[in-house]
Amino acid sequence: MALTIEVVQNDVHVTITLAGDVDTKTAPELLSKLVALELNVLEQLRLDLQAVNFVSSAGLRAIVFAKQKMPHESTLYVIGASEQIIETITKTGLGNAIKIVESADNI
Amino acid sequence: MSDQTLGSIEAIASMDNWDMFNDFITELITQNVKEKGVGYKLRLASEELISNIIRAANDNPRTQGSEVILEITARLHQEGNQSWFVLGTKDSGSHFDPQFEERQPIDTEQNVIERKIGGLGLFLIQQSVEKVTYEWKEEFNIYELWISAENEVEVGKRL
Repeated sequence: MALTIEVVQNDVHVTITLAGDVDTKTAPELLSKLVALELNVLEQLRLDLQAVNFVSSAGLRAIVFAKQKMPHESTLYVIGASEQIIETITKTGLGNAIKIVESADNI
Repeated sequence: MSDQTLGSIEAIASMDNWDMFNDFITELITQNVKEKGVGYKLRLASEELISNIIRAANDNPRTQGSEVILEITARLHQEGNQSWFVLGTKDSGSHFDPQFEERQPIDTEQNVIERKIGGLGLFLIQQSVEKVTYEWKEEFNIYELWISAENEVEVGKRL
């Protein structure tokens, strides 16, 4: 399934809304959007996964890349991820480095 | 002991054929695996395995430029009262034994930001299925991903 990516930037945070599958084929598209951001000065990144069905290790690596480039005190939120995606994130230990929330209202 | 083939596909191990491999597996899982969580894990393990095979086929200097063939087969394996849904791959790429049984699990307690991210795909394969096997046979890499078919698999949907 294709991946659609929408990036909305405001003064304090960037929201990336994804829809579809983040797999080996589509993860490079997410990575290129992340590379285009000024991650090194970004205080907060929100990844909205409410319409994402599947995330492979390639997708997780893109998320890790973003967190590694962001300032130490910054926050990366994963919003609205499915039970299966949360399980994968948790299993790999990535859950310790990001914040998982049900909706943007919880931020 | 008996085996029932549910479907198979064969093509060059290339990203050009990614959608074909992916659609085949997704359809197989949709048709045969009832429980959503189990289906998700099997898809995750399959995706990691196939992406590794394609990467190895195209990055390895020995196989680069030559055509590595990847075959994916799904079968239902019955042994006594136990039945298994088995998704297998067979590829003609370079010999690569991931040594699943000897592989140390990644340290998920260590901060992911500081640790090396390598090995994540193999880790997810091991974590997502009940059994994973590797064999080098007649110049082919042969992997099998096994999940119990007791409650999760609806028997006999062919592709």
